[in-house]
Amino acid sequence: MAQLAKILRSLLVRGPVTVLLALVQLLFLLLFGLLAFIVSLLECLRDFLRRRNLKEEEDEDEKCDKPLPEAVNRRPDPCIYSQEYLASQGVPVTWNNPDIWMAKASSPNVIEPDSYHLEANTDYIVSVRCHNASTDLAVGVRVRLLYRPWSFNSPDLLPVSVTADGQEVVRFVNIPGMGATVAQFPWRTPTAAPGQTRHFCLQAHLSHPMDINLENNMGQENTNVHAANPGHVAPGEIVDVDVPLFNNSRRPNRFVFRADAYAVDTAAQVQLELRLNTGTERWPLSKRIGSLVPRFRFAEEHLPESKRESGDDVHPRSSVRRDRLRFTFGFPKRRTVVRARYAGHRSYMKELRGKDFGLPTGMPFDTPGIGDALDLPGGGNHAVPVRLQVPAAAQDGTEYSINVRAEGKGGRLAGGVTFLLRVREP
Amino acid sequence: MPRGLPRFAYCTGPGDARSHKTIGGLLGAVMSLWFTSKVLAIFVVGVLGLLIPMLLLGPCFGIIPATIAIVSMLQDFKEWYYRDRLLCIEDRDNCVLGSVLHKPEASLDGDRKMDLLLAPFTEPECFETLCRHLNANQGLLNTDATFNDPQFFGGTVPVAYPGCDEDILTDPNKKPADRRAERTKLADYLKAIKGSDPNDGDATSKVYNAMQIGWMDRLLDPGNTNSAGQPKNFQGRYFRKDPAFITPGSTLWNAIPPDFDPGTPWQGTDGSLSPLTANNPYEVEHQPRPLNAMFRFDQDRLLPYLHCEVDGNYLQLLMDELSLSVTTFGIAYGFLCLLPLPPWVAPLVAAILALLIFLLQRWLDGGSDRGDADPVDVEFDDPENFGEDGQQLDGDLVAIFGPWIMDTEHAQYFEIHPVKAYYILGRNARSGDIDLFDSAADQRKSGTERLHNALVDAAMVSAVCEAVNEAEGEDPGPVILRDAPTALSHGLKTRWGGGGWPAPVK
Repeated sequence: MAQLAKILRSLLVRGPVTVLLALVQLLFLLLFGLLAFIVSLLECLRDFLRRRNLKEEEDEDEKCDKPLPEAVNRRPDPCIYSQEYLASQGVPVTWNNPDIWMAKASSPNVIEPDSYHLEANTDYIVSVRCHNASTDLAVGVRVRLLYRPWSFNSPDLLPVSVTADGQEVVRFVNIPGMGATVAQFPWRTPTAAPGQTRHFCLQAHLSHPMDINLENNMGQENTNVHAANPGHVAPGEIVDVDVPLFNNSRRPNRFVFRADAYAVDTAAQVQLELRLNTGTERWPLSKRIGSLVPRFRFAEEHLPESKRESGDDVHPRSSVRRDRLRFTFGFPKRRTVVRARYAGHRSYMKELRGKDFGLPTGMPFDTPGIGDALDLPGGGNHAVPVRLQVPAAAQDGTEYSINVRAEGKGGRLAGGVTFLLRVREP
Repeated sequence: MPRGLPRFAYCTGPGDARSHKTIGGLLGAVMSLWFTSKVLAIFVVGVLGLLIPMLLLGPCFGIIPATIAIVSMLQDFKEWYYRDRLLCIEDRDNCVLGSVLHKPEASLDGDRKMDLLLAPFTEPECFETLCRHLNANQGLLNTDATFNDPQFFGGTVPVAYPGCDEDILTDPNKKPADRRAERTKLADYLKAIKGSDPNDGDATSKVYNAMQIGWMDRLLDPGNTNSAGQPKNFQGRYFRKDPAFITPGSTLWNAIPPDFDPGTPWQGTDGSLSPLTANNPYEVEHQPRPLNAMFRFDQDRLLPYLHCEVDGNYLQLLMDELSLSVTTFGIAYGFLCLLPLPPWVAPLVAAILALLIFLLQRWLDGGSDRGDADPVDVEFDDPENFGEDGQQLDGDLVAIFGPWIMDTEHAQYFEIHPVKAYYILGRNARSGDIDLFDSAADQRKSGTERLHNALVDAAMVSAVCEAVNEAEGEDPGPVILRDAPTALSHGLKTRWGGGGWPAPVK
């Protein structure tokens, strides 16, 4: 009986209605469809006259497989506090990276106040906070943690941790859109001779195949590894450190050195607003005229998906399904693709650019023997003597975060180091 | 959240989901007749559907019911294809992880299809397991009675089982070419016992199905564990009907053809053949049928896979273009036959007009690419987008999000359809001509930096899918607050993400 009803409904309702609507479509088609076709021919003629070339244009799409529709793809932006990227935008930077911190493996919940007073030959857990600056989720972000000799820009890099068969330990993390996730690595700090302090620079590298911004993926953190108790400075003490500088290019370069007292402001808040970028299907005039022909299409209904009820038979009810699919008869619409991002960083950037982060009063900075600038041949290197004097009036417990940066031609950041000086009464 | 992705095909519940053989409606009645008797079907359609109306109403008016009948059938087909063809397994979207075996490519219906080797299975493991399984059933495969399957074989062994080298992937003396040759040998053997039915291109022989089911039983065995001792069957429900997810005896359970017989010693020597048969609700001939595997099988690479499709709507456009064309024919014919013209003029002119209208509407709908699930050529408000489009490559490890369904066509398989979100986790490709067929040693050599199927475990699937479910759920608000270090970590700049954002409401 149900089958008969279905047949009768097809024959007596759906069929006649479709035929009637097809007649309406036919009338519009004869009017606008033919007009659209004529306009399309004129467009082809116009294009031909513009190119004046009978040769067909190469279609790049034919060369490789078409990607999936944009609405299906997810494009993350894994990122980390990246000195080079920030400096390229003219904002001050520190090598005391807010996204990298440490704790002793024996007391993993006690985070070291900074990475400048670490003990040598000791097991630490290095935490790397990985961010995602996209509205899309980032899954499978590869995180590498490497270290290199302390320097402005040494090219030598070693993994902080390797497996039993000598392979680098890497982490894969998932980062929510506009969120952050922490990856952790074990690191046994290198040994140091009695009384010696060794300097290292940690580098965290993030990577993802669909990354929309490859420039904010590498962050650095300066560390100091001490043989015995971590060192402190006294008021008036002169800190002399030789920092290796490498000219990693093949051409000679002139480097200048600058120091500032910039430190990341952890209290400030930045308000970000959602922006949408709507892409609308390109329609030439002929297509627009053609769109005046009504036709059947899928109804644009976005009903909330019902969730699985635990413990029940999970198939959906027919009544739910019946409401979902509907054909309508009307004019076709242009298809759209919508991308999103959160914007609003500009005001904070302006604020940073406008602030003075000069050295504290009574703290001179010098690079003895270097003068105004240092010329290095391509591939050359030099140990740059950096001298800072702790202010004589510095109070016990005061902490100074001093950044020294090497800039190449055009003010381009070649590298930098951050000195974290904690004052203790002599 | 509703994403900016058009959706065309919807799944339906048990009892409503039908294959083309059990379609229902006017078209279904004709199809039923066809499967009962092709002569009877032609007679009924020809005489009752066309001739009698023509005789009763005359050719000029008889064309009207004939037109309505044909258009009804076209619309029945369209509705069935997009509404009644797919069976919902769960009334929610699912998330699966696996390695892409083939680049997404266009299907005949405009969908973009891709196949996933579900994690944590790898090509070497699948080969070794299949090899071991077939060797264990050598006696069965060389017994005539095994091939007593009248739809395909007449009770004699079609080709002797050639045996397989189970250790070829770990044998240091064997070269990649030897391994590939061994795989080809096995693939050729399986093709030989697959059988063929000229009346049903999707049907495969009982023994061919049984070997796949037994092989899958080995892969999904809880004793098949990774290096950490964890079972590898954590995504097994997409390969085999799982009573832990589908209640046995429920209408849904009964709507999925049986794909496993717990009483059969699948992993025993010569045990991979079940006597169990059942009526398949989506078939009409050769009932009852033997077990029906719910996964698909790559016959060349010897891999099980989950089929996934991004929705296109080519068939919808085609059915509507045909409806318009048939209506044009009917109107033109009815009008012309009233005029004093030779009898051949009306059908000829009407057919030409119908063809021209069909071609015009086809052109308006987008020509040969109409309805394909391809990227849309769009013009953005802000043209400063990221550069090239992300390519989907063979060997990518991906997470796919969408409804889990069973296609009632193609001998019934589980699918993710339509794919609503595609997350790439890692590039696994090693060359343009991707082939994952490496030995375990080759895989070890490739290092831990590459995220691939073998590195995926249940915890990772759970973490990724939880994140995906959350990301595809609620969106953050229009305004968010972030502390200054986070803003700096973003690089004080953000770029436009993927194009799956819901369209703004105007």
